[in-house]
Amino acid sequence: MNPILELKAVSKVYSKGATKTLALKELSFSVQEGERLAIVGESGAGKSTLLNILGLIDYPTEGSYCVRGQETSALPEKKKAVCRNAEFGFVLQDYGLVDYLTVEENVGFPLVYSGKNISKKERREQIQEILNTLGIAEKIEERAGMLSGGQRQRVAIARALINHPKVVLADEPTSALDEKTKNEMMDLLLQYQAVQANALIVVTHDRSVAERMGRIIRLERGVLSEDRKQ
Amino acid sequence: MFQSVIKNNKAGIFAILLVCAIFFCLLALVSHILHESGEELEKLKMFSDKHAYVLEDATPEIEIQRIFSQENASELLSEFFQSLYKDGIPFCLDYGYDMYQDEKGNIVRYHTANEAFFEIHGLKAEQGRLFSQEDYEKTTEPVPVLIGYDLQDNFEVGKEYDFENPTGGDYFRGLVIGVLRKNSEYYHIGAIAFNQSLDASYIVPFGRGMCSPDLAISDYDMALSGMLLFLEDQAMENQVSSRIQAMNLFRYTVKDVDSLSDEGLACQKENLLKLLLLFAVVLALVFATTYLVFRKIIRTHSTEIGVRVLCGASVSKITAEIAQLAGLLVALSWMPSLLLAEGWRDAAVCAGGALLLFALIVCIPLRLIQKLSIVEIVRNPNAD
Ligand SMILES: Nc1ncnc2c1ncn2[C@@H]1O[C@H](COP(=O)(O)OP(=O)(O)OP(=O)(O)O)[C@@H](O)[C@H]1O
Ligand SMILES: [Mg+2]
Repeated sequence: MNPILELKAVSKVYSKGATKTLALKELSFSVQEGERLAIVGESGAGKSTLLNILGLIDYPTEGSYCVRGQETSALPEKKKAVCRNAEFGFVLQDYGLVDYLTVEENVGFPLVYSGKNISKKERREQIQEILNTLGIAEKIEERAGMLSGGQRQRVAIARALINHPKVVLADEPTSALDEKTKNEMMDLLLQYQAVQANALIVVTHDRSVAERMGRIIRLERGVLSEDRKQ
Repeated sequence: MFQSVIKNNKAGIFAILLVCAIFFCLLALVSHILHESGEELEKLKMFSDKHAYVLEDATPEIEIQRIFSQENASELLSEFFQSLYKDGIPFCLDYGYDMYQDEKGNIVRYHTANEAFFEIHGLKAEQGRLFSQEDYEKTTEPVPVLIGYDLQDNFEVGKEYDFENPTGGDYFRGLVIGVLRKNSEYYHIGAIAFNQSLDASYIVPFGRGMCSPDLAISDYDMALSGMLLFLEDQAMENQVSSRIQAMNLFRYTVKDVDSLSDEGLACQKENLLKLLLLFAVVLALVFATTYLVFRKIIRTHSTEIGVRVLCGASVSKITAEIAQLAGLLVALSWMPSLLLAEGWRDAAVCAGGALLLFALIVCIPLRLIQKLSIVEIVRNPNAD
């Protein structure tokens, strides 16, 4: 089977003035559709950098990165945006909600930029549906800033999943959560993963989170030191 | 993007609108003033090869009191005019008063002028005739009267009427001898230069006969300060100067019209400099306001921008939306200046200004967005 994501000898160097930081060094691995992958490693190992490159937010300074066999380095910004919209769903640290906008507006962003001509009514129906399954349908008109932590987490998941992405990327989605909500979060992500058969890639410090994934990649100072299926 | 930006930044958006509107109004005004004063200088030039001189009033305030109460002042002034006739010094003279408003809303003006006045301003009769030599010499009623184009319905050529008299008796008996062409106007030179229409005036001849001691001092003053003298050489100039001095009344200095236009030019330059300075200040204000407001907008909306990019917006699309907002602001703030703009010239200048402002206002948010790191926002979405 063709991998959905494929990295070949990817390196990332950050240069700030004269100082250069090698954040990733010659990483090569691929991700299959429907795969569950945890990325672990010490702080500063390059996990976020890797995730941002995978999500087409950042770019490698060397090597090649293909999404569905398409080399991305030469893609213009607009095409990258389209690809981001079609293939990826993101769950950010602290959820990354826009506090002054409503839940509907927050969740609706991927639909707005999907390029499909979805009517406002249809959009609302889709949002309503996903919020229903997450148990926060009654909050649709609420401003995101007014929600509790657990509700925010669900809104963030709804936004990541609304467009039925092939890959869900989550950067430390559980880092600030207690044991109970942490498990809830992972339950939800895995539940959807099972239904939608998307690839799920989670950056985490947390052993118990990593253990629930089918494959663990370990980074050490930008180098892939372990790639283990379990 | 639009709605939330406007909703969250009403005061800032309003501030931008305000300074931009001020910019445009100033622009319309500058264009207007430049255009007007240019026209004025153009008019002054029409006298330049005629050895034309004006009498510039430099009488101190306290002197005026004395002159008006001096008993023989009118007599002396009358003598001065008579001497101009005697010495054969050509001059162009006119003055007038607003008298009343007629039923059509015209402000009807009394006007008196000498022969040269009609010549210099190229005035022509639509009906009847202009004043003849005898008309200027005449001292008895009925007084020959020329009427402006708009007064035709009330006065007929060849008929006599009682006309309101600004000085002396309440009315004088006048015989209408002609009607001036439509849009007859003249250019009054003096401390304040202006175009004056004659369409609602009734005009009587100012000639030797008019220079009687009956005229009020104020009439003479007006006549003198609005008059043009045509002095061929220095000797004539000296002659006039010494006559004025001998009168020992108003202190007039004889001034070349050319030097007036030079002064006008210098004055125009100075005004232009002041305006440019003001302009620079307003432009700086526009720049500062736009910068501060958009910086705040982009700061407070960085999460939104990052999230939108994450969800599939291209940075160029977000940029375009912000640019649209800027464009809308320019377009809106442009409107009030259209009310101020007179004619296509001002409008064109304002349109040019709009382009300049648009470039400026769009550049600022573009620059600010360029500096924004989406990667940073995604890494740390809720850090403002
Ligand atoms: N914009 C940047 N400019 C320069 N260096 C950077 C930049 N972003 C990250 N780095 C450096 O790149 C390296 C990898 O950073 P990265 O954020 O990917 O690590 P991480 O594994 O996600 O760490 P953490 O667990 O703390 O989130 C670090 O040394 C970091 O200092
Ligand atoms: Mg990180």
